[in-house]
Amino acid sequence: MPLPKPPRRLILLATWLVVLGLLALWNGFNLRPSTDLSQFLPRGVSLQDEVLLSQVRGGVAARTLLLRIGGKRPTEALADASRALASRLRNDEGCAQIANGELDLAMRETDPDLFRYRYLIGPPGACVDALTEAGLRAALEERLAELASGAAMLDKERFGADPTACYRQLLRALIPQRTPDRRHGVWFSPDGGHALMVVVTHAQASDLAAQRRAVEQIREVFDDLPESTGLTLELAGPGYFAVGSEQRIKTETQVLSIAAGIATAGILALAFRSAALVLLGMLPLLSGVMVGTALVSWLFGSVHGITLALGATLLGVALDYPVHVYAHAAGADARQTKPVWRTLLLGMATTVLGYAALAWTSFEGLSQLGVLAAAGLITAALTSRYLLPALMPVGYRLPERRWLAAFQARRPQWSPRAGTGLLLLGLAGLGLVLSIGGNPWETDIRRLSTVPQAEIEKDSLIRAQLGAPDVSRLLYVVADEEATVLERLEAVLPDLEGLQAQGLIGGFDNVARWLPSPQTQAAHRAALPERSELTARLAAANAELPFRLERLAPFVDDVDASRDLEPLTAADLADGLIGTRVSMLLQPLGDAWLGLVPLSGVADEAVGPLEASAERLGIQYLDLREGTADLLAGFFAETLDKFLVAALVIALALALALRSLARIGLVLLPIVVALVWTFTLLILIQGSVNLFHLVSLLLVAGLAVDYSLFLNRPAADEADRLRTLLSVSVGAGSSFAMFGFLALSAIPALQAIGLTVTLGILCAYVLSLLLARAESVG
Amino acid sequence: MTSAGPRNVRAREAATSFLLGLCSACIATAAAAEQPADVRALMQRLGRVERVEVAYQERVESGLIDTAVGTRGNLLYQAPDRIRRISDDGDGFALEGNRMQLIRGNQVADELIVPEIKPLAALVGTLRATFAGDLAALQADYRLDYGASEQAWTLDLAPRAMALSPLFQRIRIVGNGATIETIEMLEANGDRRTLQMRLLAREPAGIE
Repeated sequence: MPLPKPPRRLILLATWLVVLGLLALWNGFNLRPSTDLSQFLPRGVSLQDEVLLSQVRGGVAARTLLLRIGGKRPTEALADASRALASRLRNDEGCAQIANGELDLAMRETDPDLFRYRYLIGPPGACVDALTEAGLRAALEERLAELASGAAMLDKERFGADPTACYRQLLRALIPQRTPDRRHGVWFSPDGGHALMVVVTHAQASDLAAQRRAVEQIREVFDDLPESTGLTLELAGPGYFAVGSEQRIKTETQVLSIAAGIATAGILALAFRSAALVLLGMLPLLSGVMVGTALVSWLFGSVHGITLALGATLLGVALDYPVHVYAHAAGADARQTKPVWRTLLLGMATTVLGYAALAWTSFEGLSQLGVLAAAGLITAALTSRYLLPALMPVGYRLPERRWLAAFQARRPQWSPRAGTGLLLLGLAGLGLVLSIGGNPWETDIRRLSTVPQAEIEKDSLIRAQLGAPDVSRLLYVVADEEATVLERLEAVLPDLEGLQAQGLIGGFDNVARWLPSPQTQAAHRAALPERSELTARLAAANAELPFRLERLAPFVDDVDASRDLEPLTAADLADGLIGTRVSMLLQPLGDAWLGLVPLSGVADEAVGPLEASAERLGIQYLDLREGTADLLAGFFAETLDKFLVAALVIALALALALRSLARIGLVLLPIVVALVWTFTLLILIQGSVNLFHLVSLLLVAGLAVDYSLFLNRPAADEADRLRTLLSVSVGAGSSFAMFGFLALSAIPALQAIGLTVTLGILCAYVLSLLLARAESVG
Repeated sequence: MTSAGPRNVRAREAATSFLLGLCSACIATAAAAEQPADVRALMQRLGRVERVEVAYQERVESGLIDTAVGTRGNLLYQAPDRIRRISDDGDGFALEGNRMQLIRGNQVADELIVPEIKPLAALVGTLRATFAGDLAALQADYRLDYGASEQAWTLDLAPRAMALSPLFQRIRIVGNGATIETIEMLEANGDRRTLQMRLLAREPAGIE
């Protein structure tokens, strides 16, 4: 089919394409591709939400990769591979921390800062409080016993500077309280089938490029190891999932969209027998996406990948506009097409109003979505209406179709009463489903992801094998000053130790155990004896012991030097042995400081006491899973409110435009019945309803408005009526094909969207056909 | 994990006392027996011992102290891999397979995994090689120098392995027949510890 010959059309088309190209370029720069659903969630409604989301998004948990090495080889081979992999990764810049249960040789060296500050930060019993005459005597006696038994053999070089073993006790406080099973010196799953490893990356989970590099690097290193022959490496963890789902989404979306594109184009080509029209038909949708995206990135600064994906979904309605234009512009005169344009724009306007209701929300993701979909839809409708007719091939005639007339003649017409019956039946069904299934909202954030279920299960399994470092429960403190945070963390230490002694909690990691508050450090410093005093006490303590006091000169010097030290802060430790650990537990949160105490093995009976201590000491107890569930529940509540508003707005807009109660009833009936049935079927099939289902339902509403308005439109004559039937059928068929392919996806989000929309199209199309009344106005 | 230190300390304690303990397991004060002709013959004879219990006395000379200090206690070896050494004060260790329990005041204070700590693993390997009469394994870690007179034999071990050389300059084992009488260790820092042992019981009977 030749393109329009007059230069005016060519210029128009060229201009359109150039504008599209420029918009695509602009969007390319502003798009922040993110598949992390948590970013789609609200900005901190409360402090707790903020802490929660900062942990879900950027906490150490989000930067942790879980590795497991398996294969049909002896456990020794697995352990060797684990050790070899760890030693190679320790030299890798992308990895902040590697733990496989092995003792790291580099860690055996004394950390100069920790050693220098030992009398300020070390456990008082072995440090500041041990500097009395009695304390020193007890320490020296102990050292002598160690010397006699051989225990001191390798520690002897430290003896001269640290006779009270202060540093040794400080390191002891640093030992993690729970460690996984060990075989051959490395972590293993309890069944011995897999060697386990934890890698903390420097990159944030949301920095997909860096995460991908880290994952690829680990795989490459593993594959290069001579020890890895015959073994397999599996990964899990948020960063890996992000990379994996990005890859998966990319490849699967490509395959599915090519298939969907071919199917849609095939249907359009079959209906209109013109390649040019098929190609032109893509332009309004593309324009809608581009304008919507550009507007959002201009208003909000950037666009989330999820906004774009869901926005493009909502713009699915725009697929129908060119179909309406083609069907009516070719074969009708201007007098006949005018009401068609009115219907098209009315459908668009009502849907846009509905989508725009989303924009008024505190959830940035949702408001972005509303803006994108509304702006996109306006663009698509206007370009379809004003640009497409001018670009259609000259003298294009709609192919004759006998089956259409036959279909129209046999199309059953149900009465509004039957429609009301269907509505009541649907509502009853919905009531039944809800009363049996209970709350249909999906509030487990882990299932709201783009990660397939099998991967999530693998992740949980590895976590369980590692001994529950799934830190979903924690205590946290937020304060303006680091010092205040440390003071409160210090205050809760005795309670936590008590709960642990009772066995109510398995373990905890409190930074204050080895980094006391500046106040406490200053108190320790003030309690340090002067040089002469210490020398005298040491001599007295050694009176009946054989130590050569001149060998203890470094000790006296160090205690003396400690009296001039400023209290140690988290920043001082950043580059040392425990820098990563400190930055996990004590981190900036906006302008304030956030202190975290991850808890493991929390018994249900421990929750009460934990909440009580937290309240008494001005800190917070947080269950991440419960917290995110609450957050999502709030999200659903607000989204539902918006949907009700959207529904009211749509109904109102229709009322204003149609100005007839009977016609409003006729138009609304198929829409409402279709939505109720789709929702009910959805809960029946999927068991629960998540964000993707809800947004898709909004698209279904838009499509239903379109179908119902067109099929209820008073037709000028039989030909006009047939054109309408054709345009609605082709539009529904092509959308059905497109979203049907999405329903085949293994990615939960895509599958949810696809299923909802195909179900919705089916209901909306069939019900509109059955219930619409296109009375001729003669 | 960021916390190797205390484990190292424990490792060191364990490593040292372990070596002493195991060597002493071979000891007994027997009547003058015919000395093994060479190190191979010595290994074969030591390897036949299945169970031995000794009383030990250890003496440490160090640059840190003016006078030598000492401890006494009991040591038990059970083939193939169980060792228990407890001082009269109730401190020591118990080893079985890959696991080593550290004992303080007759209570288990801690548990270590031997292969995790390389020097300890090397020592354990050495001693198991000694008990099993595995000459090849012993020669992999040490340069051996064997000499015998009518009353006693002497085996000098000079570490080859990196894991051991920072600990010891030399280990000298002196014995009589299947009985080890003295182990003397010269540590890298010049400190010297000497372990003397007196046989309490040994199985099977009849090994000289």
